[in-house]
Amino acid sequence: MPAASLPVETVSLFLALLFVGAMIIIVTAVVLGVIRLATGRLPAAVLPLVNEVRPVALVLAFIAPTTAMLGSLYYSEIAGFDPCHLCWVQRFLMYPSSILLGVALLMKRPSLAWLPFQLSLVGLGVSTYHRVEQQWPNLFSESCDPLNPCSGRWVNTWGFVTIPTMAFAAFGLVCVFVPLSLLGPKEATS
Amino acid sequence: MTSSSSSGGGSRGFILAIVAVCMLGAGLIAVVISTGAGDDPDAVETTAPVTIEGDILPQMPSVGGVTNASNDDAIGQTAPRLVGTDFDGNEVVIEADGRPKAVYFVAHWCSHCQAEVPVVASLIDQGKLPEGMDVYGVSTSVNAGQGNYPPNRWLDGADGWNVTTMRDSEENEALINFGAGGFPFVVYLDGDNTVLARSAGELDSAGIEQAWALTAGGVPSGS
Repeated sequence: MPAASLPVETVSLFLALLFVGAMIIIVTAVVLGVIRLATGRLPAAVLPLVNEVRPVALVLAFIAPTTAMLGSLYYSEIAGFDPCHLCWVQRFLMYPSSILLGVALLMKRPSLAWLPFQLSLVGLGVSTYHRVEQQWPNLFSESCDPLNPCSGRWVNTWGFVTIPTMAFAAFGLVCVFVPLSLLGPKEATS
Repeated sequence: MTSSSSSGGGSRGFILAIVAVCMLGAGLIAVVISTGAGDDPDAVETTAPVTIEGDILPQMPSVGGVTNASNDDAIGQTAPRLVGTDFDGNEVVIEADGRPKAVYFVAHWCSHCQAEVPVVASLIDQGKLPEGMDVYGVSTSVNAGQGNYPPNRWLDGADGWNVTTMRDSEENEALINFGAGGFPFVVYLDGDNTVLARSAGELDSAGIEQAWALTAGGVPSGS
């Protein structure tokens, strides 16, 4: 394994902390989404915050996959972790999302963000499948691939934050912030 | 709305500043915590050089269970002689010593190995290993970033694995020279180090005993 300029443990802990923050945002967004679906409106208490975040939602959506992309490049190119097949699938979904969201921001064409949103929806499924395979490899095979198994965990911070876990969070943030940026009228307080 | 629009640039900057501060804070916490973490005083070298004498065996075919002469080209070939060390640094030799043997290649992160190791250990404890036959382990594919690390803590732990176990090299040379099948990967040898069968993946107790009986009998699988 090539020597890393930044310790893998430090980078993994940094990304795991970001993962925690991301999951707080995602869970909050899901809860608010369910409330809005059920009642037709968001709770009044959160409207000011939602309306403050909406103008920067596309920037936040861009930051998530870009951070994930840089993290994955660190793991493969600096730490020397070979991506498995499912890691590559998630890369194919994550990297274009980052680039397209950057283009949408630079060209001020927010509608371009719908494609990364759709890619991220697929990515959520792939990262969930990958994480399940890591947790219960017996579900998918009778033996462990000795070369580069998708069930292996190059990163395992706190015993559960693995690379697909972090990818899930990045995809999830895109799925939260893109609709927030593009969908629906502002529910501004008067 | 007017006041919201006029202050929009400021609030946008404020939110992005909060995000930046959170990310910087996470980075700072990560550096402080990981710098403060000391080395494990019980740590041992989990890999060690292995000397290999002989020809490499053909790649393990993608078949489940125990192979036979119709699907495994390695059967009938002589396995390489391995000279290495266990986790305590004692020399371990796997060679043509006149005794049939089963060589278990296990990886600490592999859930199938984690399931198989206690079963093998239990069978040995129950005296199910045929008379005159040996079992060896090879700890291979070690990766500090993966689960159940280090392998010595796992194999010396509660699973009752009292089997002489060699450390594979960092490049997994022992595994590769034996044909690198899916874990747990087992190579069954007669007393001349001739391959009788190989298996990739978890076997149940009956399957393990059957493979051992075949090995002790010295008859190539499928003959």
